[in-house]
Formats: sequence, structure tokens, C-alpha cells
Amino acid sequence: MSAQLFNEGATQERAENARLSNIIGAIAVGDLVKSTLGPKGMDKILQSTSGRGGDDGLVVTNDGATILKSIPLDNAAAKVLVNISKVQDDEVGDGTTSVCVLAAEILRQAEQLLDQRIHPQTIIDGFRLATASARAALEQAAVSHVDDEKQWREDLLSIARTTLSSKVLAADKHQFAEMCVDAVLRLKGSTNLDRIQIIKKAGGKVSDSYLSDGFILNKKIGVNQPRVLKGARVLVANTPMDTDKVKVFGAKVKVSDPAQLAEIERAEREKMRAKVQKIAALGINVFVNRQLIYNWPEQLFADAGIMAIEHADFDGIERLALVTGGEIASSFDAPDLIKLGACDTVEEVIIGEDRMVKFGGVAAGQACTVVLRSGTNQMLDEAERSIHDALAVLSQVVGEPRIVYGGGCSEMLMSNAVDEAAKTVPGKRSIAMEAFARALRQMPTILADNAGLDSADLVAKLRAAHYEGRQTAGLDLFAGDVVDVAGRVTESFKLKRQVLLSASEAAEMILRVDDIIRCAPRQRRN
Amino acid sequence: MSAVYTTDEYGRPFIIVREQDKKARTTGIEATKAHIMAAKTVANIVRTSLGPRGLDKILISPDGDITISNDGATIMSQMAIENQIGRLLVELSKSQDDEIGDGTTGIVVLAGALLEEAEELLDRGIHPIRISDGFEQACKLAVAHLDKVSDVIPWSKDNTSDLFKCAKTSLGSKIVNKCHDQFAQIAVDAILAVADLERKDVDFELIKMEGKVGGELADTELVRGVIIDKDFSHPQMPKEVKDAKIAILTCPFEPPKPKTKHKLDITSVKEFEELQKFERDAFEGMVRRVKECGANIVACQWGFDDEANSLLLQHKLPAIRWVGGPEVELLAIATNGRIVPRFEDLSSEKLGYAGTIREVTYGTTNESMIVVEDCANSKAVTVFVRGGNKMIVDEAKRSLHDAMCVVRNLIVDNRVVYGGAAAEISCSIAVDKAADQVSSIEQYAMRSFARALDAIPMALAENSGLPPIETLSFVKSQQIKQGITSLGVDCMDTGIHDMKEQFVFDPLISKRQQFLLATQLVKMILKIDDVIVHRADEE
Repeated sequence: MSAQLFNEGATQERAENARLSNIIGAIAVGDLVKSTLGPKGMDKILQSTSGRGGDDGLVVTNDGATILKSIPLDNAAAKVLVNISKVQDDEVGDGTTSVCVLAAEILRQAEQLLDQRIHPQTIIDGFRLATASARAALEQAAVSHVDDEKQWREDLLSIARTTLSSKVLAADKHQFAEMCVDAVLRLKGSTNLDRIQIIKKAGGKVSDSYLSDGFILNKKIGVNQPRVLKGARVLVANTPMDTDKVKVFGAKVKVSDPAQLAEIERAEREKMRAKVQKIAALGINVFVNRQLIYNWPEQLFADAGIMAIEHADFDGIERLALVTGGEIASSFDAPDLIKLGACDTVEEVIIGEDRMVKFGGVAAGQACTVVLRSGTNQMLDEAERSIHDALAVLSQVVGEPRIVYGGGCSEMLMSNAVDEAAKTVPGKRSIAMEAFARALRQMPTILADNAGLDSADLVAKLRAAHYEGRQTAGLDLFAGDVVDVAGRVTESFKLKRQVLLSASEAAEMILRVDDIIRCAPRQRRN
Repeated sequence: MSAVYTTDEYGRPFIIVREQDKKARTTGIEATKAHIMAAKTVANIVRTSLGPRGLDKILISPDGDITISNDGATIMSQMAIENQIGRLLVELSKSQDDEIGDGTTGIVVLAGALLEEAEELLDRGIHPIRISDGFEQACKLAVAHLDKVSDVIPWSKDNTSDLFKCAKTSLGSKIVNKCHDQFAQIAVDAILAVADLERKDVDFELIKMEGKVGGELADTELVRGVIIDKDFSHPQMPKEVKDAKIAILTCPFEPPKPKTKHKLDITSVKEFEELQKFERDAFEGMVRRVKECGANIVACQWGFDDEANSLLLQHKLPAIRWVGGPEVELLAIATNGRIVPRFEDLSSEKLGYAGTIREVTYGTTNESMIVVEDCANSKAVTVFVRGGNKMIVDEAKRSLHDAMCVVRNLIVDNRVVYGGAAAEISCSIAVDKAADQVSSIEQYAMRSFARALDAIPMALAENSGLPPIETLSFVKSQQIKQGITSLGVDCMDTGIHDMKEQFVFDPLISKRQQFLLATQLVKMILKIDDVIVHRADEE
């Protein structure tokens, strides 16, 4: 007999059941994204029933975070995995699939230990020891070439290629790697990716994409205004250019006859004219505003020979202010306090069929624009995600320049280190450590499986290579053999460390749970 | 169910409880037993969370949000218990949380154990009131005994090692025991930074906890200053201000807006122009006033007009807008500044001071926070929690709060008892012994109370994977044989049973509160003999 404690509809899972449902949920999520891992990983189509997402709710992607974000899950452990993948995306930008797969593999191993009746806390203790020794091994293996400029660039290119090789851009990875590295190096250590603009235009080939050193604003130049300008002085503004409203609260125009109305209207126009004159008096020839510019001020600007661009979005003007070195101004009464931006040329360019404004030869060269071309919208979206991942990883590498080697090399290294450490640990914890090492070895196994190779054979060879002391041995998934991956497949140390730590933290968290209480779902009114 | 009605002198029934068919009613022993059953069920849920090797619970809210926690109060409050007695236990754990901050699991387990024992006594035909009287007497004895076995731990601002050990005991059961020392140190440092040692008081308002996913638990740090989850109002303002003199405003950089309802009619061009001039002057006046009082950074609770924002930039005044209410207060305390509600009231002595104010960016999503450090008043601190996922960050925050409460309690009263259920076992022995001298029926109730206290070490042993009965009897016999009251359950399997050596401490007031509150609740439940529940309408 048990008392009715909860609301109707609430459920409770305890002990073995709770653990089982958590581990099954986590493994299911891991298996879901597992096949996208590595250079030979496959993509997924996400079709949304509500028509959101791309054109008709269709998304083709290889990005773990994107896949997991789009699937509504009901399992608590699965949600934890989705969350770590999202954090990985926000923190490092890539490795979103790896982190989920690793966490799921750790839990898969833990399940077997639980079957042997080992206390979850003992397993966790072992996992902690394993994580620590894996981390130490990873840190030891990490190298930095930041002093050697040529090698450093080579490293960055290699990291970019590694990231891109698992994505849709794999075919043109050399070209895109160059683009990404150039773009990130321009940032000079900043991680603010907003400064790199990505413009997508359907049409053309993927290889037609290019990096533009200037800044491209997806806007049209006003009518009757110059199309090309040399030696531009730019004012970036955020100010109403329709009618300048009186902002004092509650103010309202109240007139008794049409003549007065006409006068007020004239006064309004005069105010606008005065504003335009003030702006023109700054000696500028390009005026970019975040808000609308009405026809009347636009005409005034045209008369003054000023190129006026309206309705640039907020990101747009921020970037523009950044590249031209100007300040975003909203008041124009003190001309000496306004910092104008400058660039060599402002011209209208045509990309595909659209006209855009390009600011070339800018003062502060931090920002740049990546123009992506491709046949389909889905392809463009996926290309953008891939570029974003690569840029994010690269920008983080600039901050933390240490690198490690990919192709399963780091995982095997960590796995061996954990195995070695396990031998020195007395008690049941060493069993958990061995399990952790097995989970790490699953990563190269999955890589090989996805490439259609004999994973058991390859991973055993790889392991043997590492035991022989060839610490940079990894898998070449194109040749299907164990090779020295130093300089060939490079990954960011920060990324790998984050994958390891997040995955083990999440696995620990899920293992600690022995009870799931689900409240009755909130009733939705239709 | 027996119908509640009575008959008049003609034998016709009349109804006392209106709409009887819509109500469920339980009475007498039956009611009490149903309550005990419910309480036991609840206690069993949190029982497995007890101790350093206890496990966590996943709680899924009605909206599908997930909380993973080991904290009794959190688990209880998020379970959405409908049963009345269950709710009483939720309240019980909440009041322990509000009053003490830690021991929220233990109190529920104890209450559950007491009720379980009471059930047995009821079966023997002992009246509920006699049982509760016996419990009351036993509780008094146990609390008195706690005082006896407690030790005073010396601490001072420089010698915090014992405080640190207590914080560790509290954190032992949480997931943050991964970085055990670090978190315990953070808890101790944070409390000591804000504690008013003369009044023996700690103002928790001065400790803020900010969490951000990313990194790992070991990246968690204590910032001696304030962190505000905002960024500078204009993207081109400098990202770092040194020797900051900060003006803290609670008025918006916007045209004046009288609170009374008003209407301003513009009837002529002249008025229109005057109003425009007024508006311009208003903005300039605001910025001028801020500048004139010597401030070089502005924190404002409200928003800025675009024009004002641009003016601030032009006048080289970095500004933070939409700073939340509590943060404004914290900022004012930390920088020794005054909160200024009107621009007219600004003056140089009302400004706050901070060594550096800087914007820090995290990860790849361009999220940033403002860190205010080296403040004039070092009292306000912020704990900045990092972790691999949202759930772990939330749980780390809760765990730290508990540990801080423990340290706070020790500053208020520096007596401790020994953990690992050593105190419970010792009390159980004392109560059992005293029971023999009681000549009335209460003797039975007191023995039951002693047995209920044993439930805590049993749960600890069980959760740690030790044989519960064997462990308990071993520790109990050792306590009596050796006469050492600090012997407890060796949860971590270190081979040492003396909690004094293992440094497992609990504040005395926490344990005392557990005993008192749990007994009180049990007495209350035993006293209920009739429950009338309105059934929900069948619509």
C-alpha cells in the first residue's frame, strides 16, 4: 500500500528504473548523432512539421548542436546531453557532436559496471580519477607554435581543415580554411565573431565564395545619390530621420485651424532641414542610419551630395562603426565631439542579382565579410553553420594557442594514460577507470566505423602504435590506415579539454541520480 | 465511510457536513495511519540523498524543465506533492532551509522515522497523545544531550581551518565535491568577507551568486566585488575603467516624465520650438550634471534614450543601463556610493569608488558581464560559478549556499557536534538509557524515539554501500565501550570511525533545530484524527 502523494499524471521512477531510463536516454541521443562524427560522417535531414527553419522547414546538417536543438526530447538525461552540446557550441563553437557521443559512451560503460553491482559513487570516483589522468595526458601532449609565425598559421589552417572536413564544405576545405584563418587573424585576438559578417547568396558554385577585406552592407544607396565615392568620410548614426518627434512625455499637437497646422508642419520640416544641415556641416559624404530615412531628408542629402543609406540593422551599423573607426552618433549639436569614420572607397557592388554597398580600404581592418555562394538554400545554411564553427574554434585557438592532434590520436593517448593510471589504483575504482578508457577508445572506433573501415582492426593497430611510443599516431580515414597525424589533423586543445570535462561532468551528474520525479504536465488550453 | 449525520427527536436524519458526497473523510486511527504512510513515502524518496555518498534526484517540472539536485529542500519543494501530510513535510524542510540552510534532507528522514515508530506504538494500542508526550520528553533529553556532546571549535579571521572543515562536511554530499577544497574555501572566504564579527551576523544580501555555463566546476571563483550581467550601453565605450568613480542612478536618461497624469498641448510653432529646445537642454543638463560631479562611469537602473546614449559616449562617460534593483543596491554597498534618484541630487560625495570596472566576454556567443573589483567597501562579494551544463551550475549554486549557511551558523554559534551520525547515535543511547527510569507509558515512546534516531546512521550506511544493521550495532557498541561520543559511520570507508579525526562537523544549532522541528511536526501529525477533503468537482 502506498499513499497517493502527487498530482494525477505525475510519475516517479526509482533506483534501477531511474538509472536505466537515464542511461538509455543518453545512449539514444549519443547513437542519434554518432553517425555524423568525423570526416566521413553523414548528414541529417530535419523536417519540421510547423514549417519553421529553412524555406519549408527543411534543414540538412552535420552539426551536433543544430540537430539536438531541433529535436524535442522528453528524457531528462537526454536533455542534459543536449544542454552540454549547446554549452560546447557557445563556449568553443565546435565538438558539439563529440561531447554528446563521449558522454553517451561513458554512460554505456557505466551501465555494465552497474550491472556488476558497483555503487554509482564508486564508479564516479573512478571516473574522476580517470578524467584527471586523461586531462594531464592531454595537457602534456598539447603543443603551441605561437612563436613560429609560419608554423602557427599552418596550425590554424590545419585546425580549420579538421573542423571543416566533417562538414558540407569538405570538398573545398583548403579554400575555406584559408578564408577562415584570414578572417580570424584580422580580429587580432578578439573573440567577437560579430565582426565577421557572413553574406549568403544563392546561385553560383560553392567555390565561388570569397572573403572580402572590406565591409559589405546589404543595403541600397538612396536614389539620385552617388554610386561610387573615393575618400569617404562616414557618419554612422542611430537617429530618427522620418520626423523628429518631441520626446517629452504627453506632448501633443493641438491646433484650432488649418493655418496653424500648416505652420507646425513647416516648423517640423525646418527642424528636419536644420538637422540635415547640421549633419552635412560635419563635412561627411556618406551617412548611414540605423533607422528609416524619409524621402524629404533623403532628397536633402542628395542635394548636399551625401550618400545616405537607411535602415541598416543594428549589427550592421555596429560593424560599420567598428571598421571605419567612427562612433555611432545620435546627437549632432557638438560637431567637435563626433568621431567620423573613414574609408577609401564606397561603392555599389552586385553579388548575384542583389546590389549591396561595399566599404573598401577601411581604417581599422578588423572586420571583414565572407560571401558564400551555393546552389541551394539548405546548402548555404549548412555552409554558414560550418564556417561559423570553424571561425569560433579558430578565434578560441588564438586565445589559447595550444593544439593537440586529431584523428583519434588524442583519445587514444588519453585512453592509454587512463589505463596506465588504473593499474596503480587499488580497489573497484580501477575497474571504473578501465571502463572510462574503453569509452575514450570508442571515439576512434566510431570515426573508423563511419568511414566504413574495419574499426576493430584499426583501433587495435592504433593502440599498439601508441604503446610503442608513437604518440602522434592517428587514423587516416581516407587511406584507412594508421599514420603519423602531427601537422595533418590538428585540433584545438581547448576544444578537446572541454569535450572531456563536459562529457565526464554530465556523465557523473546522470550517474548520481537514483530517482526521477516528473510533475504532471501543465494542461494546455486549446 | 461512515456518514456524518445525526437524528432529530423524530428520528429524521439531518446532515451536519454540507454536500457530504463531495467530501472524503477519514477519522481516528485510520486517519493517523494514512498520514504516517504518506510521510513515510516522502521520507523514503529523499532518504537516498543523505550523506556523502547519497544520490541525486531528477525533477521534471510541469513545463519539462529539469532540476538535478541533492538538496532536500529543493527536491521537496519541486516535487509538487499534493498530499496534505506530504506538504507539511515540504514545509518542514523549507523551514529548516530558511532557518539553518543545511540539514534539509536529514530532518525529513528523521520525521519519517519518528512517524514509522509511532505507527508501531499505535498498533500496540497506545494513545497518540501519550506517544507525542513521550516524544516530547525524549526530544528534550536528546537536545540536552547534544549540548553535552558538543565541542567548541575555535576560529578567528586568520585561523579558519575548522570552518573550512565544516563547509566541507556540508559539501560532501553534493556533486561539487569534485572540487571539494576549492568550494569549501570559497564558502568560508565569502562569509568571512561579509560577516559582521562584532554582531555575529552575516548579511546574505551581500553575497551574490552568478552562474554561467561553460568551463568546468574548477573554474568557479570568488570575486571580491560585484558582477553585473550587463554590458556597456554603447558598443564603442571603453571596456575597462580604472579608478572608477561611479554615479549610481535610479532615474532614466530620458525626458522628464511627471508621475501625475498630464497633457501637454502644442498650439503654436513657438511652443513647438521651445519644447524642442527644452528637450535638448534636458539631455545636455543630465550629462553635464553627471560630468560635473566628477563621475567617470554611470550605472543606471533604467534605459537610455538613443540621443542620451550618444551624448554619454561623446562625453567619455561609459554607462551601464538596466541594472537590476538588487544589483544597484549591491553596487552601492560595494563602492560606498549612494543611490541617486534625481540628477539634481548628484554630488561628488555620493559617488562610489572601484579600482577597476571591466567588461569580460565569454565563449563564442559574445556574451559579456561587467566585473567591478577593488571596491571601496570590500564587504560585497560575488561567487562566479562555472560548469559544463545548466543543471550543474544551478546545483553548484545551491550547494554553495548550503555551505555558506553552515559557516554562517558557526559564526553565530561556534559549537559543533560530530557528523557521520555520531551525534544521533550518542543521543539515541542517552535517550534509551533515560527511558528506563520513566515509569509511565511514555517509556515506550521514548524508546521508539531512540530507535528513530538510529534511522539516520542506518540510512547513511545503506547509502554508502555498508551493511546498515551491522554498522550501526558496531558503532553503538564502540561508543558505549570506549565512551567516545564522536564515533560515527565511516561513509567513505577510510577505516577511521572517529569523526573528530575525519573532521566531519555539523553546527550544533543545525542538529538541534532538526530534532526540535521534526518532533514538533510529528506531534502535530499525531494529533490529527479527522481529515475532510473537498473532492474536486467532477466537471
